[in-house]
Amino acid sequence: MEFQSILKSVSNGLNILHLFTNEKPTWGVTEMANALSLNKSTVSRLVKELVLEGFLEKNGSKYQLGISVLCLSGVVTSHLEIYREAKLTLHSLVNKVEETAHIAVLEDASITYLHKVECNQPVQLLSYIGKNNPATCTSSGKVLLAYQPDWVVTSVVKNGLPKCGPNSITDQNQLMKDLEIIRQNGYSICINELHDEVVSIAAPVRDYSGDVIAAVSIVGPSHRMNEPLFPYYVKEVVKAGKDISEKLGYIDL
Amino acid sequence: MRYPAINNESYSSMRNALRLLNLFTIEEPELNLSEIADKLQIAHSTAHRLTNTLLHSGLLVKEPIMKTYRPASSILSMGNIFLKRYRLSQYSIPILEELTKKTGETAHISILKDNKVVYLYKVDSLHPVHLLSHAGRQNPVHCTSSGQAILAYQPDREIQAVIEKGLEAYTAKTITSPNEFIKTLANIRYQGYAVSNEELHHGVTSIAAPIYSRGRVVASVSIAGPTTRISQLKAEVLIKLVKVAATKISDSTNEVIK
Repeated sequence: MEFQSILKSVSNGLNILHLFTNEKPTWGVTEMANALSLNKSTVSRLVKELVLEGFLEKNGSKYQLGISVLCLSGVVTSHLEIYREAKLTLHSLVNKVEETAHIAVLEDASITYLHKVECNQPVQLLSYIGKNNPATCTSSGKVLLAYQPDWVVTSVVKNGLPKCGPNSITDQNQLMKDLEIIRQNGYSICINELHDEVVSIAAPVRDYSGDVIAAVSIVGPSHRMNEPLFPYYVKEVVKAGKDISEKLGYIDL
Repeated sequence: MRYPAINNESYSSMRNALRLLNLFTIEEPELNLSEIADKLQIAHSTAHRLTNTLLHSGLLVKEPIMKTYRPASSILSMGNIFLKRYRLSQYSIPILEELTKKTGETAHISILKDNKVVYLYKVDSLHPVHLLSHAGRQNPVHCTSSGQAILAYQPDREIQAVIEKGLEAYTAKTITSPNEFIKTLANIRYQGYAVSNEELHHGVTSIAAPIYSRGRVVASVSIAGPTTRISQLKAEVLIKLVKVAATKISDSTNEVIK
Protein backbone atom coordinates (compact mmCIF):
# COMPACT_ATOMS: atom_id res chain seq x y z
CA MET A 1 0.00 0.00 0.00
CA GLU A 2 1.27 3.48 -0.87
CA PHE A 3 1.36 5.14 2.50
CA GLN A 4 2.50 8.47 1.11
CA SER A 5 -0.84 8.90 -0.62
CA ILE A 6 -3.00 8.42 2.45
CA LEU A 7 -4.94 11.47 3.53
CA LYS A 8 -4.35 11.93 7.22
CA SER A 9 -7.49 13.94 8.00
CA VAL A 10 -9.69 11.46 6.16
CA SER A 11 -7.99 8.60 7.91
CA ASN A 12 -8.70 10.28 11.27
CA GLY A 13 -12.32 10.77 10.28
CA LEU A 14 -12.72 7.12 9.31
CA ASN A 15 -11.13 6.03 12.55
CA ILE A 16 -14.07 7.67 14.30
CA LEU A 17 -16.33 5.07 12.67
CA HIS A 18 -14.18 2.23 13.98
CA LEU A 19 -14.73 3.43 17.57
CA PHE A 20 -18.34 2.30 17.54
CA THR A 21 -18.76 -1.24 18.86
CA ASN A 22 -21.45 -3.48 20.28
CA GLU A 23 -20.06 -2.77 23.72
CA LYS A 24 -19.97 0.99 23.21
CA PRO A 25 -22.41 2.09 20.51
CA THR A 26 -22.63 5.80 21.47
CA TRP A 27 -19.80 8.31 21.72
CA GLY A 28 -19.51 11.97 22.66
CA VAL A 29 -17.14 14.34 20.86
CA THR A 30 -14.82 14.68 23.87
CA GLU A 31 -14.60 10.90 24.26
CA MET A 32 -13.79 10.49 20.56
CA ALA A 33 -11.13 13.20 20.75
CA ASN A 34 -9.53 11.51 23.74
CA ALA A 35 -9.67 8.02 22.24
CA LEU A 36 -8.05 9.17 18.99
CA SER A 37 -5.72 11.80 20.51
CA LEU A 38 -7.19 14.53 18.32
CA ASN A 39 -8.35 18.09 18.97
CA LYS A 40 -11.96 18.48 19.96
CA SER A 41 -12.46 21.03 17.20
CA THR A 42 -11.02 18.63 14.61
CA VAL A 43 -13.31 15.85 15.80
CA SER A 44 -16.33 18.18 15.74
CA ARG A 45 -15.63 19.07 12.13
CA LEU A 46 -15.18 15.40 11.10
CA VAL A 47 -18.30 14.36 12.99
CA LYS A 48 -20.30 17.05 11.21
CA GLU A 49 -19.29 15.59 7.84
CA LEU A 50 -20.04 12.04 9.00
CA VAL A 51 -23.53 13.22 10.01
CA LEU A 52 -24.09 15.01 6.68
CA GLU A 53 -23.38 11.79 4.75
CA GLY A 54 -25.48 9.61 7.07
CA PHE A 55 -22.63 7.69 8.71
CA LEU A 56 -23.38 9.09 12.17
CA GLU A 57 -26.58 10.29 13.78
CA LYS A 58 -27.00 12.50 16.78
CA ASN A 59 -28.66 10.94 19.81
CA GLY A 60 -29.07 13.52 22.57
CA SER A 61 -25.64 15.01 23.11
CA LYS A 62 -23.86 11.92 21.74
CA TYR A 63 -23.53 10.16 18.40
CA GLN A 64 -24.31 6.71 17.05
CA LEU A 65 -23.80 4.98 13.71
CA GLY A 66 -26.14 6.16 10.94
CA ILE A 67 -28.18 4.57 8.19
CA SER A 68 -25.36 4.75 5.59
CA VAL A 69 -23.47 1.96 7.36
CA LEU A 70 -26.53 -0.28 7.03
CA CYS A 71 -26.78 0.51 3.31
CA LEU A 72 -23.13 -0.36 2.84
CA SER A 73 -23.46 -3.57 4.79
CA GLY A 74 -26.44 -4.42 2.55
CA VAL A 75 -24.14 -4.04 -0.44
CA VAL A 76 -21.71 -6.46 1.16
CA THR A 77 -24.29 -9.08 2.05
CA SER A 78 -25.95 -9.08 -1.33
CA HIS A 79 -22.67 -8.98 -3.18
CA LEU A 80 -21.48 -12.05 -1.40
CA GLU A 81 -23.70 -14.63 -2.97
CA ILE A 82 -22.29 -17.12 -0.57
CA TYR A 83 -24.11 -15.39 2.24
CA ARG A 84 -27.40 -16.42 0.69
CA GLU A 85 -26.35 -19.86 -0.39
CA ALA A 86 -24.73 -20.80 2.88
CA LYS A 87 -27.61 -20.04 5.21
CA LEU A 88 -29.57 -23.29 4.98
CA THR A 89 -26.53 -25.51 5.04
CA LEU A 90 -25.20 -23.71 8.08
CA HIS A 91 -28.47 -24.24 9.92
CA SER A 92 -28.55 -27.95 9.18
CA LEU A 93 -24.90 -28.27 10.21
CA VAL A 94 -25.69 -26.66 13.56
CA ASN A 95 -28.68 -28.94 14.05
CA LYS A 96 -26.48 -31.99 13.52
CA VAL A 97 -23.36 -31.14 15.50
CA GLU A 98 -25.06 -28.87 18.04
CA GLU A 99 -22.24 -26.36 18.02
CA THR A 100 -21.97 -22.83 16.61
CA ALA A 101 -21.15 -22.58 12.90
CA HIS A 102 -19.62 -19.76 10.85
CA ILE A 103 -18.85 -18.81 7.30
CA ALA A 104 -15.72 -16.71 7.02
CA VAL A 105 -13.77 -14.98 4.27
CA LEU A 106 -10.20 -13.73 4.15
CA GLU A 107 -9.49 -10.02 4.04
CA ASP A 108 -5.82 -9.14 4.22
CA ALA A 109 -4.37 -10.96 7.23
CA SER A 110 -7.70 -11.43 9.01
CA ILE A 111 -10.79 -13.47 8.58
CA THR A 112 -14.22 -11.90 8.79
CA TYR A 113 -17.28 -13.86 9.84
CA LEU A 114 -20.01 -13.33 7.27
CA HIS A 115 -22.57 -15.48 8.88
CA LYS A 116 -23.04 -17.19 12.19
CA VAL A 117 -25.60 -19.71 13.38
CA GLU A 118 -25.62 -20.33 17.10
CA CYS A 119 -26.34 -23.62 18.78
CA ASN A 120 -28.72 -24.05 21.69
CA GLN A 121 -26.04 -25.33 24.02
CA PRO A 122 -24.60 -23.12 26.74
CA VAL A 123 -21.17 -21.45 26.50
CA GLN A 124 -21.42 -18.65 24.01
CA LEU A 125 -18.17 -17.93 22.27
CA LEU A 126 -16.89 -14.52 21.44
CA SER A 127 -17.78 -14.07 17.81
CA TYR A 128 -20.28 -12.06 15.87
CA ILE A 129 -21.00 -11.29 12.25
CA GLY A 130 -18.37 -8.93 10.92
CA LYS A 131 -15.83 -9.75 13.62
CA ASN A 132 -12.21 -9.99 12.53
CA ASN A 133 -9.76 -12.56 13.85
CA PRO A 134 -6.16 -13.16 12.83
CA ALA A 135 -6.17 -15.71 10.02
CA THR A 136 -3.29 -17.72 11.42
CA CYS A 137 -4.99 -18.45 14.78
CA THR A 138 -8.26 -19.86 13.46
CA SER A 139 -9.22 -23.03 11.64
CA SER A 140 -11.18 -21.00 9.04
CA GLY A 141 -8.24 -18.70 8.47
CA LYS A 142 -5.81 -21.56 8.04
CA VAL A 143 -8.10 -23.36 5.60
CA LEU A 144 -8.40 -20.15 3.59
CA LEU A 145 -4.64 -19.58 3.64
CA ALA A 146 -3.87 -23.18 2.71
CA TYR A 147 -5.51 -22.69 -0.67
CA GLN A 148 -4.22 -19.20 -1.48
CA PRO A 149 -1.33 -18.51 -3.84
CA ASP A 150 2.06 -18.25 -2.15
CA TRP A 151 2.23 -14.47 -2.37
CA VAL A 152 -0.94 -14.13 -0.27
CA VAL A 153 0.48 -16.36 2.47
CA THR A 154 3.79 -14.51 2.34
CA SER A 155 2.09 -11.14 2.74
CA VAL A 156 0.12 -12.42 5.73
CA VAL A 157 3.12 -13.85 7.56
CA LYS A 158 5.47 -10.97 6.81
CA ASN A 159 3.90 -8.90 9.59
CA GLY A 160 4.54 -11.64 12.12
CA LEU A 161 2.26 -14.32 13.56
CA PRO A 162 0.20 -13.10 16.52
CA LYS A 163 -0.17 -15.19 19.66
CA CYS A 164 -3.84 -15.31 20.64
CA GLY A 165 -4.24 -18.59 22.52
CA PRO A 166 -1.80 -20.97 24.24
CA ASN A 167 -1.33 -23.03 21.05
CA SER A 168 -1.11 -20.24 18.45
CA ILE A 169 1.45 -21.02 15.80
CA THR A 170 4.03 -18.28 15.87
CA ASP A 171 6.72 -19.96 13.81
CA GLN A 172 6.53 -19.41 10.05
CA ASN A 173 7.94 -22.81 9.10
CA GLN A 174 5.52 -24.54 11.42
CA LEU A 175 2.65 -22.64 9.79
CA MET A 176 3.79 -23.65 6.29
CA LYS A 177 3.90 -27.31 7.40
CA ASP A 178 0.45 -26.94 8.91
CA LEU A 179 -0.97 -25.47 5.71
CA GLU A 180 0.50 -28.37 3.73
CA ILE A 181 -1.20 -30.88 6.02
CA ILE A 182 -4.50 -28.97 5.68
CA ARG A 183 -4.25 -29.18 1.87
CA GLN A 184 -3.67 -32.94 2.11
CA ASN A 185 -6.52 -33.51 4.56
CA GLY A 186 -9.01 -31.01 3.18
CA TYR A 187 -9.85 -29.62 6.63
CA SER A 188 -8.29 -27.86 9.59
CA ILE A 189 -8.58 -28.41 13.33
CA CYS A 190 -7.52 -25.73 15.81
CA ILE A 191 -7.22 -26.57 19.50
CA ASN A 192 -6.65 -23.63 21.87
CA GLU A 193 -5.10 -21.51 19.13
CA LEU A 194 -7.40 -18.51 19.32
CA HIS A 195 -8.66 -18.89 22.89
CA ASP A 196 -7.93 -21.34 25.62
CA GLU A 197 -10.39 -24.27 25.86
CA VAL A 198 -11.78 -23.63 22.39
CA VAL A 199 -11.81 -26.04 19.48
CA SER A 200 -12.70 -25.16 15.91
CA ILE A 201 -12.86 -27.27 12.77
CA ALA A 202 -13.06 -25.77 9.27
CA ALA A 203 -13.39 -26.89 5.66
CA PRO A 204 -13.02 -24.99 2.37
CA VAL A 205 -15.84 -23.55 0.26
CA ARG A 206 -15.13 -23.32 -3.47
CA ASP A 207 -16.86 -21.30 -6.15
CA TYR A 208 -17.61 -22.44 -9.71
CA SER A 209 -13.99 -21.86 -10.73
CA GLY A 210 -12.67 -24.15 -8.02
CA ASP A 211 -11.11 -21.29 -6.04
CA VAL A 212 -11.44 -21.48 -2.27
CA ILE A 213 -13.38 -18.31 -1.47
CA ALA A 214 -14.64 -18.98 2.05
CA ALA A 215 -14.44 -21.42 4.93
CA VAL A 216 -17.20 -23.09 6.89
CA SER A 217 -16.38 -23.89 10.49
CA ILE A 218 -17.80 -25.09 13.77
CA VAL A 219 -16.53 -23.93 17.10
CA GLY A 220 -17.15 -25.00 20.67
CA PRO A 221 -15.62 -25.55 24.09
CA SER A 222 -13.00 -28.31 24.27
CA HIS A 223 -14.81 -30.10 27.11
CA ARG A 224 -17.69 -30.78 24.73
CA MET A 225 -15.81 -31.04 21.46
CA ASN A 226 -13.37 -33.75 22.47
CA GLU A 227 -11.07 -35.82 20.36
CA PRO A 228 -13.06 -39.05 19.96
CA LEU A 229 -15.77 -36.95 18.27
CA PHE A 230 -13.40 -35.24 15.82
CA PRO A 231 -13.94 -37.69 12.92
CA TYR A 232 -17.69 -37.11 13.12
CA TYR A 233 -17.30 -33.31 13.23
CA VAL A 234 -14.83 -33.35 10.35
CA LYS A 235 -17.18 -35.43 8.24
CA GLU A 236 -20.08 -33.02 8.79
CA VAL A 237 -18.07 -29.83 8.29
CA VAL A 238 -16.44 -31.13 5.09
CA LYS A 239 -19.87 -32.17 3.84
CA ALA A 240 -21.27 -28.70 4.57
CA GLY A 241 -18.34 -27.14 2.70
CA LYS A 242 -19.02 -29.34 -0.33
CA ASP A 243 -22.72 -28.62 -0.13
CA ILE A 244 -22.22 -24.83 -0.23
CA SER A 245 -19.59 -25.19 -2.96
CA GLU A 246 -22.07 -27.08 -5.13
CA LYS A 247 -24.65 -24.36 -4.63
CA LEU A 248 -22.06 -21.88 -5.87
CA GLY A 249 -21.62 -23.92 -9.03
CA TYR A 250 -18.56 -25.97 -8.08
CA ILE A 251 -18.40 -29.41 -9.62
CA ASP A 252 -16.25 -31.92 -7.79
CA LEU A 253 -14.54 -34.08 -10.41
CA MET B 1 -16.79 10.92 -20.17
CA ARG B 2 -19.40 13.61 -20.72
CA TYR B 3 -18.11 16.09 -18.17
CA PRO B 4 -14.49 16.96 -17.55
CA ALA B 5 -13.29 15.74 -14.16
CA ILE B 6 -12.98 18.80 -11.99
CA ASN B 7 -11.73 19.08 -8.46
CA ASN B 8 -14.89 19.85 -6.58
CA GLU B 9 -13.78 22.61 -4.26
CA SER B 10 -17.01 22.74 -2.29
CA TYR B 11 -16.34 19.39 -0.57
CA SER B 12 -13.58 18.56 1.89
CA SER B 13 -11.57 15.36 1.37
CA MET B 14 -13.39 13.80 4.30
CA ARG B 15 -16.76 14.59 2.76
CA ASN B 16 -15.62 13.21 -0.58
CA ALA B 17 -14.39 10.00 1.03
CA LEU B 18 -17.86 9.51 2.53
CA ARG B 19 -19.57 10.46 -0.73
CA LEU B 20 -17.36 7.84 -2.34
CA LEU B 21 -18.54 5.16 0.09
CA ASN B 22 -22.14 6.16 -0.58
CA LEU B 23 -21.68 5.47 -4.31
CA PHE B 24 -21.78 1.73 -3.74
CA THR B 25 -25.24 0.22 -4.04
CA ILE B 26 -26.66 -3.25 -4.36
CA GLU B 27 -27.05 -2.61 -8.09
CA GLU B 28 -23.49 -1.31 -8.37
CA PRO B 29 -21.44 -3.11 -5.72
CA GLU B 30 -18.12 -2.66 -7.53
CA LEU B 31 -16.61 0.45 -9.10
CA ASN B 32 -13.30 1.21 -10.76
CA LEU B 33 -11.26 4.37 -10.34
CA SER B 34 -12.56 6.19 -13.42
CA GLU B 35 -16.16 5.46 -12.51
CA ILE B 36 -15.54 6.86 -9.04
CA ALA B 37 -13.79 9.99 -10.36
CA ASP B 38 -16.59 10.47 -12.87
CA LYS B 39 -19.46 10.09 -10.42
CA LEU B 40 -17.92 12.37 -7.80
CA GLN B 41 -16.63 14.82 -10.42
CA ILE B 42 -13.16 14.77 -8.95
CA ALA B 43 -9.75 14.37 -10.53
CA HIS B 44 -8.44 10.86 -11.08
CA SER B 45 -5.50 11.52 -8.74
CA THR B 46 -7.87 12.69 -5.99
CA ALA B 47 -9.99 9.56 -6.40
CA HIS B 48 -6.81 7.52 -6.14
CA ARG B 49 -5.80 9.15 -2.86
CA LEU B 50 -9.30 8.71 -1.45
CA THR B 51 -9.54 5.01 -2.37
CA ASN B 52 -6.07 4.41 -0.93
CA THR B 53 -7.12 5.99 2.34
CA LEU B 54 -10.32 3.95 2.42
CA LEU B 55 -8.37 0.76 1.70
CA HIS B 56 -5.97 1.63 4.49
CA SER B 57 -8.88 2.17 6.89
CA GLY B 58 -10.33 -1.24 6.03
CA LEU B 59 -13.57 0.11 4.60
CA LEU B 60 -12.90 -0.82 0.97
CA VAL B 61 -11.20 -3.80 -0.62
CA LYS B 62 -9.63 -3.89 -4.05
CA GLU B 63 -10.18 -6.76 -6.41
CA PRO B 64 -6.66 -7.48 -7.69
CA ILE B 65 -7.47 -8.63 -11.23
CA MET B 66 -10.24 -6.32 -12.35
CA LYS B 67 -8.90 -3.47 -10.20
CA THR B 68 -12.36 -2.64 -8.90
CA TYR B 69 -13.24 -1.49 -5.42
CA ARG B 70 -16.03 -2.73 -3.17
CA PRO B 71 -17.05 -2.21 0.47
CA ALA B 72 -15.13 -4.50 2.84
CA SER B 73 -17.04 -7.11 4.77
CA SER B 74 -15.79 -5.65 8.05
CA ILE B 75 -18.58 -3.12 7.42
CA LEU B 76 -21.02 -5.91 8.30
CA SER B 77 -20.25 -5.40 11.97
CA MET B 78 -21.13 -1.70 11.70
CA GLY B 79 -24.42 -2.61 10.01
CA ASN B 80 -25.17 -4.95 12.89
CA ILE B 81 -24.36 -2.32 15.50
CA PHE B 82 -26.69 0.08 13.68
CA LEU B 83 -29.55 -2.44 13.68
CA LYS B 84 -29.06 -3.39 17.31
CA ARG B 85 -29.67 0.09 18.53
CA TYR B 86 -33.05 0.08 16.82
CA ARG B 87 -35.05 -1.17 19.71
CA LEU B 88 -37.76 -1.99 17.23
CA SER B 89 -35.94 -5.21 16.45
CA GLN B 90 -36.65 -7.59 19.29
CA TYR B 91 -40.36 -6.81 19.23
CA SER B 92 -40.95 -6.32 15.55
CA ILE B 93 -39.22 -9.34 14.07
CA PRO B 94 -41.71 -11.84 15.54
CA ILE B 95 -44.53 -9.62 14.23
CA LEU B 96 -42.88 -9.54 10.80
CA GLU B 97 -42.54 -13.32 10.86
CA GLU B 98 -46.19 -13.69 11.71
CA LEU B 99 -47.11 -11.35 8.85
CA THR B 100 -45.10 -13.42 6.38
CA LYS B 101 -46.66 -16.59 7.69
CA LYS B 102 -50.20 -15.23 7.29
CA THR B 103 -49.72 -13.50 3.94
CA GLY B 104 -47.14 -15.83 2.46
CA GLU B 105 -45.24 -12.79 1.15
CA THR B 106 -41.89 -11.21 1.96
CA ALA B 107 -42.26 -8.61 4.72
CA HIS B 108 -40.06 -5.59 5.45
CA ILE B 109 -39.64 -2.79 7.95
CA SER B 110 -38.23 0.34 6.35
CA ILE B 111 -37.13 3.84 7.25
CA LEU B 112 -36.39 6.95 5.15
CA LYS B 113 -32.99 8.21 4.12
CA ASP B 114 -33.45 11.43 2.12
CA ASN B 115 -35.38 10.45 -0.99
CA LYS B 116 -34.70 6.75 -0.50
CA VAL B 117 -36.43 4.13 1.57
CA VAL B 118 -34.12 1.63 3.30
CA TYR B 119 -35.05 -1.84 4.51
CA LEU B 120 -34.11 -2.44 8.12
CA TYR B 121 -35.43 -5.95 8.47
CA LYS B 122 -36.76 -8.51 6.10
CA VAL B 123 -38.50 -11.86 6.50
CA ASP B 124 -38.55 -13.96 3.34
CA SER B 125 -41.72 -15.28 1.80
CA LEU B 126 -42.46 -18.96 1.89
CA HIS B 127 -43.10 -19.01 -1.85
CA PRO B 128 -40.38 -20.31 -4.11
CA VAL B 129 -40.42 -17.10 -6.17
CA HIS B 130 -38.32 -14.74 -4.09
CA LEU B 131 -37.88 -11.08 -4.67
CA LEU B 132 -34.32 -9.98 -4.16
CA SER B 133 -34.14 -7.70 -1.18
CA HIS B 134 -31.74 -7.25 1.69
CA ALA B 135 -31.45 -5.32 4.89
CA GLY B 136 -29.79 -2.09 3.83
CA ARG B 137 -31.27 -2.14 0.34
CA GLN B 138 -32.33 1.30 -0.88
CA ASN B 139 -35.24 2.04 -3.17
CA PRO B 140 -36.68 5.35 -4.36
CA VAL B 141 -39.23 6.69 -1.91
CA HIS B 142 -41.78 7.94 -4.44
CA CYS B 143 -42.60 4.64 -6.15
CA THR B 144 -42.61 2.19 -3.25
CA SER B 145 -45.48 1.65 -0.85
CA SER B 146 -42.98 1.43 2.03
CA GLY B 147 -41.60 4.88 1.13
CA GLN B 148 -44.95 6.50 0.43
CA ALA B 149 -46.42 5.21 3.70
CA ILE B 150 -43.73 7.08 5.66
CA LEU B 151 -43.42 10.17 3.48
CA ALA B 152 -47.18 10.82 3.56
CA TYR B 153 -46.89 11.69 7.25
CA GLN B 154 -43.80 13.91 7.04
CA PRO B 155 -43.85 17.73 7.03
CA ASP B 156 -44.61 19.41 3.69
CA ARG B 157 -41.03 20.58 3.20
CA GLU B 158 -39.82 16.95 3.21
CA ILE B 159 -42.44 15.98 0.66
CA GLN B 160 -41.43 19.00 -1.45
CA ALA B 161 -37.76 17.99 -1.18
CA VAL B 162 -38.56 14.57 -2.64
CA ILE B 163 -40.59 16.16 -5.45
CA GLU B 164 -37.78 18.61 -6.18
CA LYS B 165 -35.29 15.78 -6.58
CA GLY B 166 -37.54 14.54 -9.38
CA LEU B 167 -40.16 11.80 -9.59
CA GLU B 168 -38.28 9.53 -11.92
CA ALA B 169 -40.30 7.00 -13.93
CA TYR B 170 -39.34 3.38 -13.24
CA THR B 171 -42.32 1.81 -15.00
CA ALA B 172 -45.28 3.14 -16.96
CA LYS B 173 -47.19 3.14 -13.66
CA THR B 174 -44.77 5.30 -11.64
CA ILE B 175 -46.40 8.53 -10.49
CA THR B 176 -44.35 11.33 -12.06
CA SER B 177 -46.70 14.31 -11.72
CA PRO B 178 -46.17 16.32 -8.50
CA ASN B 179 -49.89 17.05 -8.19
CA GLU B 180 -50.88 13.44 -8.56
CA PHE B 181 -48.14 12.47 -6.11
CA ILE B 182 -49.44 14.91 -3.48
CA LYS B 183 -52.96 13.54 -3.99
CA THR B 184 -51.70 9.97 -3.58
CA LEU B 185 -50.03 10.88 -0.29
CA ALA B 186 -53.21 12.58 0.95
CA ASN B 187 -55.13 9.45 0.07
CA ILE B 188 -52.62 7.33 2.02
CA ARG B 189 -53.16 9.52 5.11
CA TYR B 190 -56.91 9.10 4.67
CA GLN B 191 -56.79 5.31 4.24
CA GLY B 192 -53.89 4.59 6.58
CA TYR B 193 -52.05 2.42 4.05
CA ALA B 194 -50.24 2.58 0.71
CA VAL B 195 -50.38 0.26 -2.27
CA SER B 196 -47.77 0.35 -5.00
CA ASN B 197 -49.01 -1.51 -8.01
CA GLU B 198 -46.04 -2.05 -10.32
CA GLU B 199 -44.76 1.49 -9.68
CA LEU B 200 -41.15 0.32 -9.19
CA HIS B 201 -40.97 -3.06 -10.93
CA HIS B 202 -43.23 -4.66 -13.49
CA GLY B 203 -45.16 -7.51 -11.97
CA VAL B 204 -44.54 -6.53 -8.34
CA THR B 205 -47.14 -5.16 -5.96
CA SER B 206 -46.48 -4.00 -2.44
CA ILE B 207 -48.66 -2.89 0.46
CA ALA B 208 -47.42 -0.77 3.39
CA ALA B 209 -48.72 0.83 6.57
CA PRO B 210 -47.08 3.43 8.85
CA ILE B 211 -45.36 2.63 12.16
CA TYR B 212 -45.76 5.29 14.84
CA SER B 213 -43.39 6.08 17.64
CA ARG B 214 -44.24 8.83 20.13
CA GLY B 215 -46.97 10.09 17.83
CA ARG B 216 -44.75 10.39 14.78
CA VAL B 217 -44.47 8.08 11.76
CA VAL B 218 -40.89 6.81 11.84
CA ALA B 219 -41.01 3.64 9.73
CA SER B 220 -43.31 1.40 7.74
CA VAL B 221 -44.12 -2.26 7.53
CA SER B 222 -44.77 -3.69 4.09
CA ILE B 223 -45.24 -6.86 2.11
CA ALA B 224 -44.26 -7.34 -1.51
CA GLY B 225 -44.92 -10.07 -4.01
CA PRO B 226 -45.79 -10.83 -7.61
CA THR B 227 -48.86 -8.89 -8.77
CA THR B 228 -50.40 -12.14 -9.97
CA ARG B 229 -50.45 -13.40 -6.40
CA ILE B 230 -51.68 -10.16 -4.83
CA SER B 231 -54.95 -10.01 -6.76
CA GLN B 232 -57.60 -7.34 -6.16
CA LEU B 233 -59.71 -9.72 -4.20
CA LYS B 234 -56.89 -10.89 -1.96
CA ALA B 235 -55.52 -7.36 -1.56
CA GLU B 236 -58.25 -6.39 0.92
CA VAL B 237 -57.31 -9.21 3.26
CA LEU B 238 -53.61 -8.44 2.89
CA ILE B 239 -54.12 -4.72 3.60
CA LYS B 240 -55.90 -5.62 6.82
CA LEU B 241 -53.04 -7.91 7.89
CA VAL B 242 -50.40 -5.28 7.11
CA LYS B 243 -52.31 -2.63 9.09
CA VAL B 244 -52.67 -4.96 12.06
CA ALA B 245 -48.93 -5.68 12.00
CA ALA B 246 -48.15 -1.93 11.83
CA THR B 247 -50.39 -1.23 14.81
CA LYS B 248 -48.81 -4.04 16.82
CA ILE B 249 -45.31 -2.77 16.07
CA SER B 250 -46.32 0.81 16.89
CA ASP B 251 -47.76 -0.34 20.23
CA SER B 252 -44.65 -2.34 21.07
CA THR B 253 -42.26 0.52 20.24
CA ASN B 254 -44.30 2.91 22.34
CA GLU B 255 -44.05 0.46 25.18
CA VAL B 256 -40.29 0.21 24.76
CA ILE B 257 -39.85 3.96 24.71
CA LYS B 258 -42.09 4.49 27.72
